[in-house]
Amino acid sequence: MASNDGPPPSDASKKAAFEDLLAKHRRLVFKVAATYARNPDDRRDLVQEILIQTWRAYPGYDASRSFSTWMYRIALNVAISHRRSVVYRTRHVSEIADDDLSAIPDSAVREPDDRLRDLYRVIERLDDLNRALVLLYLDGYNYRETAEVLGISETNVATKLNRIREWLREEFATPDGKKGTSWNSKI
Amino acid sequence: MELEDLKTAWQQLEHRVEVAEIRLHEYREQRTVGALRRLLMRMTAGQAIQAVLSVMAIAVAAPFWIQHRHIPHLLIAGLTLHIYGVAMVCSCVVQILLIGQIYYTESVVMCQRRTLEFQRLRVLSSLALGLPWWILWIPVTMVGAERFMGTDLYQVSPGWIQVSLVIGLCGIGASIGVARRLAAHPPESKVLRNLIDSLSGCSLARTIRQFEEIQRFAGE
Repeated sequence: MASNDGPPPSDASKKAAFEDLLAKHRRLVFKVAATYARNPDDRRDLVQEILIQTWRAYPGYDASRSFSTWMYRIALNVAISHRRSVVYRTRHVSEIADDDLSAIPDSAVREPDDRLRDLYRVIERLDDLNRALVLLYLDGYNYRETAEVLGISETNVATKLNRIREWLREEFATPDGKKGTSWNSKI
Repeated sequence: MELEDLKTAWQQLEHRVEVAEIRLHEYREQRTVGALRRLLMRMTAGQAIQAVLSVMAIAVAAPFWIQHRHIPHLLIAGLTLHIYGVAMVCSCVVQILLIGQIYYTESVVMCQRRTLEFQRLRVLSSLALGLPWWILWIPVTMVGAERFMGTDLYQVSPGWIQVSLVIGLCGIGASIGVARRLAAHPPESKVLRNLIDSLSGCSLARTIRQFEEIQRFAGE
């Protein structure tokens, strides 16, 4: 619970506190959405859903703990659940080859910048859980924090990251990196 | 490529989301709820309605088979409805309880595990409780005819009941067969697509595969 000192905060002050925290960490929401949603409409839905779920869960937030770690859990859980429904919904409509990102009608994926293209190319080939792991790593989370968000051991985090490193070296050894093996199929 | 190389791109992505932040207020002000939440709400409401209807069915079926316990075909029809009603109530209650246990604030592995447990139960129960309707309409009609019109359909036309039973059994097999055929190229209609996905066993297989993925991810 938030704090046991003093009278319970009013709805207005609770909302204000939430908005302050959100303002500090809102980029996290957009990054998760950009990582898990392919097209702008899905991303918009996902951002909205994450914000709604965060606000709903906020009364149970323990202020002594890190807000970003708490919010990351919500954002990733909502994003993975959202992606599962979206992937099934769109799978039969337009089958997209993993290594043909230029075919994806999404401005965020069609980045002119090579580095960003590489990032999306890697992300697209990771399954939902390993994607979360990489996202946390890229966002500077240490093993302990990553393990806490994902619910696995620190050793497991380290092992998985090492395997992903090896996979990246092997898979993207050539500039076009079109070997086409997804991380999921390798394990 | 090294994982560390991607950090530069990640920082670049951070700059891009700054642009998106401008529209944050817009999202917050929207009163429409997201697709996932709508789905969960609809499912909870759907389960509650089904549970109420099932209790009503039990309320009709229980006194019916007790009253007709000396007439085997009516006893079987009433008992069938009663058992189906109880199964439906159990399924609805367990699903509502499972939905209530899905907390997005839990760790990713735990939350996804619970979500998939719920999905697995939903898929299994929709198969187990949906397919029998090829046959179930027969006892429903028998009970209804006897209860509200005083007509014992089996006595009037036993052949019709038997033929309907055979057709129903064939229908169950045919539904599964056709769904499996269509699963590779499902139609555009969302309702039909979901039906085919469920009947063909694809959704169950997918849920099991995702569950195994989580087990593997958490277990290493």
